[in-house]
Amino acid sequence: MAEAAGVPAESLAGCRARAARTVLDQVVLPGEELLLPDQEDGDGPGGAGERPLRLNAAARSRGRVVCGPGLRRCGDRLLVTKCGRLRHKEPGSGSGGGVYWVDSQQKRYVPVKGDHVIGIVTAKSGDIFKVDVGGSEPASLSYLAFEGATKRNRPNVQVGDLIYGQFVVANKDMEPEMVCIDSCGRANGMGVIGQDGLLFKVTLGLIRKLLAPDCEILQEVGKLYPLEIVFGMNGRIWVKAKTIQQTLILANILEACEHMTADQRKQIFSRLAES
Amino acid sequence: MRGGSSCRPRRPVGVSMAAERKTKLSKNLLRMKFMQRGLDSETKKQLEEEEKKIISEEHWYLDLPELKEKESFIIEEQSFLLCEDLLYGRMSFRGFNPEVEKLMLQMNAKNKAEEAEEQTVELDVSDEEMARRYETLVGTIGKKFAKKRDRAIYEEDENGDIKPVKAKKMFLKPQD
Repeated sequence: MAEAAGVPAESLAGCRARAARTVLDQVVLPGEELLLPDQEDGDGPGGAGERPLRLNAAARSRGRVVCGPGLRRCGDRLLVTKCGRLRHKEPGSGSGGGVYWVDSQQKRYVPVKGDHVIGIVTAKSGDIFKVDVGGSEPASLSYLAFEGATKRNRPNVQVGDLIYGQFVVANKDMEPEMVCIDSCGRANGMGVIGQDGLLFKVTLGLIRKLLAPDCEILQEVGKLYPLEIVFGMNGRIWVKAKTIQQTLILANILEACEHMTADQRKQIFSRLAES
Repeated sequence: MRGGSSCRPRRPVGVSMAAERKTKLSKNLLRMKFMQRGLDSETKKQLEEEEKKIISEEHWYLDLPELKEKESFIIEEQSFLLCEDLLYGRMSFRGFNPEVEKLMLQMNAKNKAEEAEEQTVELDVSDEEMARRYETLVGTIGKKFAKKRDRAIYEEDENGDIKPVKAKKMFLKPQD
């Protein structure tokens, strides 16, 4: 196990840095430092003479490592800022050293650029709409940021409407701004979400779990009856089915499946399928 | 007796007055464009150099040793889009909203297409068959657009093959 050498005994336990590779899929706590793969071996005990040479070559070809949510850069190491499981994704094509991030759970959303979110229009002032996205301040949405909108042809958006859009500006220093078109000017499904349906809030981790490519829950839900769902990365889900009862059943399932095991879920689905 | 201005000889206005005044002209005035038209090129260059020296001396700089910036290999990103391949957020099942279902296919296919670049497209029709069909296709379509006189070219003999093309009958100009 590679550990940083030469740390005095009386220092806090948090000063001992572990190798990121050894901690994958384990729980990490804020304050821990992680060593990237090519740094750990240099500190390892008594490596053979040719080891340092090999590592230098590896370091050159390492490329850039991306530290994702829950991690920060601290010199040459990664510093953990959220508690959760450490994950890693290998680089798909060529360059880059892969992505490291912490899979944590939280209910409070912080706006991030590029995220698709569901917002509620709270005010219309001049040329912009104020949209509540669940962050610390309402995001601003210009009326020109819809497909086919011009100064004469304004979009039909009222206070209280639901909007599905993405952030173009989202940092801690400025008010977040969102738009309902992509870089080519096409809507791609963004814009005002239609009538009826139900909006409810879940944790952010559940949204990511449901949107994973191989999610069984959605596949099973899709077999029940015709329905429509919109997922917002800010923890909001909007569902719509043909009748109110079906909509409510769907909402309850999605909220509950966070805490259910796979067997319990299958039981519930089979019961629903019968009725 | 009045010693005075009346006894003083009057200086002629013009060159000598200007010659006296020249010594009192300020540096800034001399640097102005209209004053420099009369100068020759050497003095001009000297003046320019002096100006440059003054400007560069006025620039402030840090008197520190040069620090080499360490190139960092770590990039910070706060978005989950890079980390996990998430599906598109709008979904519809069993035909509830056909437009959304179309969008689903489009957007999820876009994600997959970016990853799987070396997938080969399967051919429904083999290349040979395609070449054969195309040969006859040119003839049949060409027949449609040929004028009545040109249709003679496309006459088929007993085998069904197109006859070889004969020389077209052109107008022969009379020699006389």
